Amino acid sequence: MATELYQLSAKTVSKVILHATKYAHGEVCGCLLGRQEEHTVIVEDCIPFFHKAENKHSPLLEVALAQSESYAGTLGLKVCGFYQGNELSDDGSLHASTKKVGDSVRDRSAFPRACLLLLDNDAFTTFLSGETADRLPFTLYHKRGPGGSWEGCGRDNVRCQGGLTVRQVREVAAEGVASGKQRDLVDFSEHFCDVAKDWRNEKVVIA
Amino acid sequence: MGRLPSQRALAATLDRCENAGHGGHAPIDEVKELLRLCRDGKVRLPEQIARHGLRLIKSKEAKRKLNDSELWLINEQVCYALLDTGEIDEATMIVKALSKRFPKSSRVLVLQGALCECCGDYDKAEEVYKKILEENEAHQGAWKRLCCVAKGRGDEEKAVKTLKEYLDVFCTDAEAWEELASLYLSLSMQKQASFCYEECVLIQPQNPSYHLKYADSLYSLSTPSTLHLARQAVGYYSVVLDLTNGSSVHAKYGLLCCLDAIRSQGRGSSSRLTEDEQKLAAKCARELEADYQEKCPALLAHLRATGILPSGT
Repeated sequence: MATELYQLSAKTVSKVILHATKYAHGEVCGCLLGRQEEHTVIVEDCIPFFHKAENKHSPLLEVALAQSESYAGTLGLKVCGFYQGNELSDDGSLHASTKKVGDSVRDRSAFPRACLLLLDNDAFTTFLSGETADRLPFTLYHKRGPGGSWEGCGRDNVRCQGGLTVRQVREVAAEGVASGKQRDLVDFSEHFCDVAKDWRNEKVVIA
Repeated sequence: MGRLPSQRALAATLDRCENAGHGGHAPIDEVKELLRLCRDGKVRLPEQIARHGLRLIKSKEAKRKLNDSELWLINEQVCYALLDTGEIDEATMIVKALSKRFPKSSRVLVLQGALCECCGDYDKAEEVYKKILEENEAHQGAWKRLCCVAKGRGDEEKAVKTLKEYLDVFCTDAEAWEELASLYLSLSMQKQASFCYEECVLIQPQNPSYHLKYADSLYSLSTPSTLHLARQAVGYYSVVLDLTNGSSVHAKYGLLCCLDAIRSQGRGSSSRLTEDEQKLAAKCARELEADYQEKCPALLAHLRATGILPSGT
């Protein structure tokens, strides 16, 4: 069997990092948009969902997922996963609630290769500062079979899209944070307070 | 939504401090006003408070101009801001000064504990808070910090236990019930979380955010065989709309999701919406669509794609 690869676009990496930077004191989450090409899943974009943890346990989650699916469709993509940044800096565990959302994304999109991207909070800090510029600050989880559980995917199987190196992607993300782009990034928690705030964030990261 | 006069005053003062002339140094009176407004309004602007406040504390001119009690208040305020922004050295300096000035104050002890927490020394912090509670069992601040220590350690069960003990005594503290609810949610204990939100609603029935959270939790608990919970949620979302003059987008989405669930998952007569419910759904859908049309028409198509809007609107 061919190796199962995942590729993350610079845009995805940057937006997840901007979301986590904007709400550094709490947990953040959102969905991933992508497509599958043979054995490779390409994550092209992401939609920031919530920075209020309780929103994950509300009808807003379904609303945000349905709207993201509709948007993904206009780009020829699918909702192919979910990302999560935990509240505590030393909490590297995949919470039960995150796995549950992952299961529901996998079923809704009929995307067996759906993945969960967990932000590594410690590595996130050193990634931005440039100390660990060669390693993406994420752990990617996927399911091997229909009845399987979420398992960590080997680091070698997660790459940057478009032949970019991690260093090049880091530069895009770090540049975004340095220029304060996190202030322009909008998530669904904000959108539900003011619908003028556009969760598509189309102009935030141009990579 | 219109802002309160105090919010406008704060925004204006902040603007004057941030965009001050002569070398970026805001005048002392402005900074003093900013800090006062933040204290009175319990506003947390750590980065700005730390930056402007620290300069104020260090300036000789300020020491002449401010009276003693306000200066110490500012010291405490700036110290918390520094802990928020992680500037431990400066914070330590202020804690030392405060401890020297008020050696027996439990308020300064709480600050010392918070400094230990910030440094990751949870054992020491716990010791400090327990010492305060020995002196004064009813010290709410220390009790709550003790719960935070457990949470910071990642020991959510202990945090829950501590908070429950606290709530046995201070059972009308809605914020504490809210915190307990979010701890339960992180432990995937939805039913318990829902119970806590119900307490919040009972304590502060005028606060729409508690009605929202309670309704959210009822919706999440509802299944095809317990659709009465979704119907109950509809009631609470409606209260939110009453309390917010119909401006809560969150409540409208919640209502539509509940009514959609009842319509699509219910069996037999329970799946039929009453005339009032149908009217409510149509009204929410109309208002949401108008809201999007006015503020962000590009997203209207995605709103319709959710499938929760009743057909025929």
